[in-house]
Order: sequence, then structure tokens, then C-alpha cells
Amino acid sequence: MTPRFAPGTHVRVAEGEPSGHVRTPYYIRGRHGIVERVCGAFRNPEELAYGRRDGPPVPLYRVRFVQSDVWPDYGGRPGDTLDVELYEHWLEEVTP
Amino acid sequence: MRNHDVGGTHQDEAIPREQHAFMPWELRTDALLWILSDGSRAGGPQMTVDELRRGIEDMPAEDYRNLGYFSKWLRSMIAITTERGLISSSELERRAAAIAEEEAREHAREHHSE
Repeated sequence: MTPRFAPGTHVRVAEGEPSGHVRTPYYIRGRHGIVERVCGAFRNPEELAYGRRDGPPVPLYRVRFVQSDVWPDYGGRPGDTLDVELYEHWLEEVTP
Repeated sequence: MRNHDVGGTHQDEAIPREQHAFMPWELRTDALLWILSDGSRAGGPQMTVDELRRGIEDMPAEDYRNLGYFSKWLRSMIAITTERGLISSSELERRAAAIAEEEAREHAREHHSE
């Protein structure tokens, strides 16, 4: 599967609380970040968790967020960042 | 937000950080997961770590908070293998009862020989 997003792409993480096993932490949903790298493509763990092992590989990205964007009361240095690995179906491109 | 997904939430209790020695049953639980998730076996793995996580996350909130690490594993492994039809809960109960009986006999024998 060809990755939709190249490094440097501005993305937004999907919001919502889907039921069942998901691999996107609650705290990062709805936040904006920048694709740092494409990690490869892997079978979707959200399908594997239910024993479905024949699905296509899904691109996985390392997305970089600014800490103060993630935590409103962040007390660290202003430039601190946080990297989270997220599957493609959780991301949409946004204009910076 | 689900039980396990607590990243960034406030926590009042201090997290105990000292390592304890593993109990034999904890090591056996770990070994059993390795066997069940071994992808090199014919027909593929019996379960995956993704399923293990799902089984842990689906626990009632109270169990999730109170059970220890390997207790959660074991509970999830029972849930997944039962769901898959590898074992049934009555089979598991029968085996647990047989082991308890065996242990009671063992104990009585030891007591008798004293």
C-alpha cells in the first residue's frame, strides 16, 4: 500500500471514541501534527485484535506534535515535541 | 475514553516502582502466551498479542484497576481461547477442580506421613 502522506505533511488526528480495540491514544485525538517519517506498512492491529489476519497492510507514520499543543498546561520548554506512531486511517491532511 | 487509555490523566496514587520476583505461575503464563502466539506453527498462531490487548481492555473497569499484570494476561488468554473454541469454560473448570483435588490429596498424604 502506497503511503498517502509524505514526511512534512501537516495532518490532523481523527476524533471520536470508536468501540473496540484502537491504537490511537485518547490524548492525541483531534490534535494537529507533522509527519516525521513513514515507518512502513503493517497489518492493522485494530483488525488483528479480532482475529482477522487477512487484511491489507496499512501505512504507519511517526507524527510529531508540539507538546504545548497537546497539553494546555504544559510546563516544559516551548519547543518540546512528542512523537506518536499512528496508522493512516486515523489521519487526514490539513493546510498548515 | 476507555479503562486502559489513561495517558495524560491525573493520578493521585504514587506508582510503585520496585520490581518483585516473578511467581512460577507468572512465568508459566508468559510461556503459554509465547506458545499460543507462535506464528511458525502449522496453521499460524492460536492468538496474537493484539487479541491479548483487546481481551485486557474489554475487562470490567474494576478488574482492570485491581488485577495484576499477569492476572490480566491470564484472564485475557482464557477469554480469547474460549472465544476461539480452543477450550471451553466447563473444560477449564473441570481441570481446575481436578488440580485442586490432586493438591488436597497431596496435602493429606504429606500430613499423614508426618
